[in-house]
Amino acid sequence: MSKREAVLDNKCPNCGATLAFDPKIGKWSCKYCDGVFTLEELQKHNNASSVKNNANENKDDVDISHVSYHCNNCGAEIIADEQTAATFCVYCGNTAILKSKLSNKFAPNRIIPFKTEKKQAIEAFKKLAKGKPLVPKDFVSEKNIEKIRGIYIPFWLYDIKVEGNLDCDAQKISTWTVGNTHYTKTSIYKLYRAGSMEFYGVPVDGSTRFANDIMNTIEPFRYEDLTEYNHAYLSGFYAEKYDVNSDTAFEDAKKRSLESAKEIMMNDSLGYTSKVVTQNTLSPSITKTEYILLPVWMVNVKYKNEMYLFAMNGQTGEFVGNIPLDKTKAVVYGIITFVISVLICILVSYLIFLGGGY
Amino acid sequence: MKTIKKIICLFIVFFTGITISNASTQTFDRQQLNNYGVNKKWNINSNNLSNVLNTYKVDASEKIYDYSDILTDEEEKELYDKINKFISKTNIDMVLVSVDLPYYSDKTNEDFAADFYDYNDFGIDFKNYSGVLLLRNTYEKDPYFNIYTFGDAQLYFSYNRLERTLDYIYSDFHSGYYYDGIDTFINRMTSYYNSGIPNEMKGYKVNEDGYLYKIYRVPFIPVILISGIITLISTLIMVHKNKMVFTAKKATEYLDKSTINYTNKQDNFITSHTSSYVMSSSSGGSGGGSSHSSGGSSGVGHSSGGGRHG
Repeated sequence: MSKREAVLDNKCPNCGATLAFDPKIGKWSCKYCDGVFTLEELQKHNNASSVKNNANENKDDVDISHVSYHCNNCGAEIIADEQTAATFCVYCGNTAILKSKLSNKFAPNRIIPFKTEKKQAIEAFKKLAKGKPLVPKDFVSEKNIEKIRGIYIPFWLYDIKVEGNLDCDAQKISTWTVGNTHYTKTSIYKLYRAGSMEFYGVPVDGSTRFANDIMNTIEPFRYEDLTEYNHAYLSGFYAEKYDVNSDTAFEDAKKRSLESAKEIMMNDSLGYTSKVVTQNTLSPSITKTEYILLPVWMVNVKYKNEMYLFAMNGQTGEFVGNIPLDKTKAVVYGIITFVISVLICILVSYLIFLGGGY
Repeated sequence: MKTIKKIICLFIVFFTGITISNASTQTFDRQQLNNYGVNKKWNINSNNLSNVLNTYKVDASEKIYDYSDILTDEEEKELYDKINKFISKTNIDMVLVSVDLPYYSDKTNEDFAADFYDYNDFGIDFKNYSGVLLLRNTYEKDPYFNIYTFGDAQLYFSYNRLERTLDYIYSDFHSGYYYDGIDTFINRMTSYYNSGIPNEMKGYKVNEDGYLYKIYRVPFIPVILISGIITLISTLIMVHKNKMVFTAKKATEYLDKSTINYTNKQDNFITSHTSSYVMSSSSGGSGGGSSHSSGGSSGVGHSSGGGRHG
């Protein structure tokens, strides 16, 4: 038997209609009565924002796999898979924040609320062809957008200290000519480096549902907008809970910070022709881990029966995704480039011929 | 004064008349009335008049002008037939000259040959005055021989081909076997003509004044190669623009640079060694091909081999 768990919605204190977070003003606004509320104002009422609802109950190991959720508005069952933490009731459209998926070990520390709106994501998609000659002509049409969703994606943020030694064998090669004798001088050095450096907020996507590369590409987020987590921010958006635990996710942050640390240490002395690492004891340690939700617009595009996924950073507006190639255009541009190059090469060779060389 | 000059002139004419009458070759007078016997369009002026007057006026159909008597009448007859065969096959004139001409530099021989060819009616149908002249100077102190080419013959008989021919006939000429040497010369010229214009001369043409000039030819292979590379790179750049998603390999943007703290930072010099080599001063063997015409006193171009002494 499944257990019923609480679902939060966010209702307008004035008229009781569904209240959504408005990224444009950074407040909650009601479409029906035009009421606008700050977080403090909302918290005076019993809704998703309230202190009680956001308090951690310290129930360890809630088994959420056999839990059912029912809409606060119409009572229908909320259709949500295991990762979904905030969604909408498919019957009445009411906000459905699944509290148990955002509490205890799933309680996010902080959140960056959405700063961009859906229409900005649509505009960004439509501008995608700018400066890219091989985008199929009708690809960036709004009608190809199948689905566009604002999702709070779970991220792990790590503060990492990398410490250790990095030794290199290095060479300086210089050449010069005196008369008709050519000299090559090879100097060999041993470089010793020991020290540390700190990385703050290396983000790793905590959900297997979103490809790591696309999440890497919409980085960086500006962390100055990180604010204390409150369920109310989720109203009007989807949200996910993590399914990659902190230890597993750290591997990715570790690789990236080690690579950077190695590069910094190797490149701090210039003038060497080549360097070979002989000893590398650099190792990372986590100084702080945070679980946060970051705003992302996910745009699903259907073009000629193929699906394409685009993502926009919900804070900075960075829009990314792989665009299909217009092969006909590629061939046409290739031929044009080739013909023009041939003509220019012939002209150049003729000018060289006239100049008496060649 | 004038009378002295006239006497000297008469003396020269008389003296040369005696020398020439010993050879089997007929010569004629050059007079202003018949443009000094020059039928070609060359402009005769005060600069080259003395060259014209000093050049034997001969019958261009004889082909063999053996002033030094190096061939017997019979040999001359046989060679004459071979030369005519060459001419009718190739439409390139062929002239053999032997002369006993004192000289200090090879240029004197060349000038003699060019004037001899230019101021007589050599060259078949006068189109480009195409022809080849083999000169044997039997000057006792320093015997010399060389091949000179005129008009389109400059294209067929390149410097390298002439050099090879001179090498072939050297021993015969040196030993006085002139018939064999000249026979070899005619055969070489015939076979070079048959194998066509050599690659080294394919980029050249001969202009109206008999000078070689380079013609522009599209360097197809480099053009296609370079254009192909440009097309490939520009296409790759365009394709690359459609791929926007990449996996992050580094975390440098999250590094707080002020936290970089070295506890040890040493660059220790271990050793160094210097090696050297002497660059060869010659820039590789140059082919020595002279693909340009020299000008004769007529102002018309011709080419030649390197010449041989012996």
